[in-house]
Amino acid sequence: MITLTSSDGVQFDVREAVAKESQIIRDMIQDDCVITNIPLANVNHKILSIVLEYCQMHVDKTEMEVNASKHQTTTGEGSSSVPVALKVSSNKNLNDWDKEFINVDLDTLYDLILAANYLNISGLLNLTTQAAADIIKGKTTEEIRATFNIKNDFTPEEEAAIRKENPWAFE
Amino acid sequence: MIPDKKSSPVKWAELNPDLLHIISKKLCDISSFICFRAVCKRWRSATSLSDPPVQFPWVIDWPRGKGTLNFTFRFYSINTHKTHTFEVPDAHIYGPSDGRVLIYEGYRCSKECRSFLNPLSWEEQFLPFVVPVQNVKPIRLWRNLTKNDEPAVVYNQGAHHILCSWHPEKNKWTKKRFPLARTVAFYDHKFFVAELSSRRITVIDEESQFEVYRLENYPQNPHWTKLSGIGDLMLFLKASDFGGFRGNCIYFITTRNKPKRSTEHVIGRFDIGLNKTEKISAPAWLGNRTWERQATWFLPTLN
Repeated sequence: MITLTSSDGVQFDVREAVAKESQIIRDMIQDDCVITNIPLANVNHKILSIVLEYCQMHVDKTEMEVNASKHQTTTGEGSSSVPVALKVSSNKNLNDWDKEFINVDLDTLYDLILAANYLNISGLLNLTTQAAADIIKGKTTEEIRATFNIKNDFTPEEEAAIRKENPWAFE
Repeated sequence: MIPDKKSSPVKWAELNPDLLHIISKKLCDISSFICFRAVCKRWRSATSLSDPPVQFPWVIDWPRGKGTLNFTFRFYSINTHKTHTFEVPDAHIYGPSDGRVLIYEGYRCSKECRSFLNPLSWEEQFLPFVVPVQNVKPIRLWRNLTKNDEPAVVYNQGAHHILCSWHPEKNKWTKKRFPLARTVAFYDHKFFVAELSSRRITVIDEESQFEVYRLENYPQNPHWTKLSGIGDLMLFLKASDFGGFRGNCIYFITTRNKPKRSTEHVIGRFDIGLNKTEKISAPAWLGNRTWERQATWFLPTLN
């Protein structure tokens, strides 16, 4: 077990495999194998608990698949279609789970992107940035600003020049 | 879907440029990318027009044959469900190719001329008037196939395609004939590349059921090997490049007969793993196919 301490001092005891979903923690453990307590200065307990839920789920699913393929090698040939089907269904379930998992408000999504980037969890970074892109796609510039609460800092002249580059995209 | 709740001030405007860059790279529709770049200075500076995200093709609807001027193109994005329209005055349209449309401008110019026009940037590339193939229709253009960024044009001639590339040092065109394995290659944009490379895949339509083949041992002993799946590939591209699209799938446009002898366009998706075809929703204007209007894929580009 490894203890991760959030920026606001809350401790989480997790299995090493779960913590190792983070590349930065993986590197720390590799460099110093007796390390058991890792303080995470940039992640508060609320976000860390969500991140660990993600890591836990993905480690569990991977282990299930490994077990399934072990089962296959011991039962011999003739059953090769079973693990493939299992893998497809578990990937599908995991994708569904990811979709449900990332159904969060924009503040949380923002914090999760930062945490995934800081902890270097590639799957979570991919999932969260894709979620942000999915919100942006199909929206007009004004709609994007309103959704993400972003102030237009272009001068009217600059904005006109930008629109002139590709007027069709703003119609 | 994530609810579009208002975000607290400042946050998203100040996201670090590397992360903004990652997000922008997942916008697989060029219009979303352009709108993204117009949001604020920080978002704009995190991206570059010369480094756009990988694009999922639009569906283009264009008029066939001669007879009408001032053509209007319609493009439909499956990704954003938006329709974009472009007008090309005084020209005939032959069809789309490499992010451009081939147009014939016997009306605009004093003599007959053909050019490839990018409707997004309005950049136009004229083909030399004298080309080495007679009485055949140019159908494709590549700009980067030969050295010095000189054009290569493909002509359709019966059962063959002819690839003509311009050699400026010799000051002449060279011709190469390509036999067609079958008349239908699914994703036109990559079709000829499939002929030239041993690792590419072509796809053959069998009434919306698909078989996927790989061309092997080209050109010594060419043969097609049937594949059971295309892994992470989709339309010859990595499915992981396209958020919201499913991998191991073939996206296709086909036609279906309707009552009263009319024909409609259908956009579909064939899942190779599930061996299942499903229809993708499309705007009403794409529905009817007539002899003078036809739909196909179009890969938009800003360059």
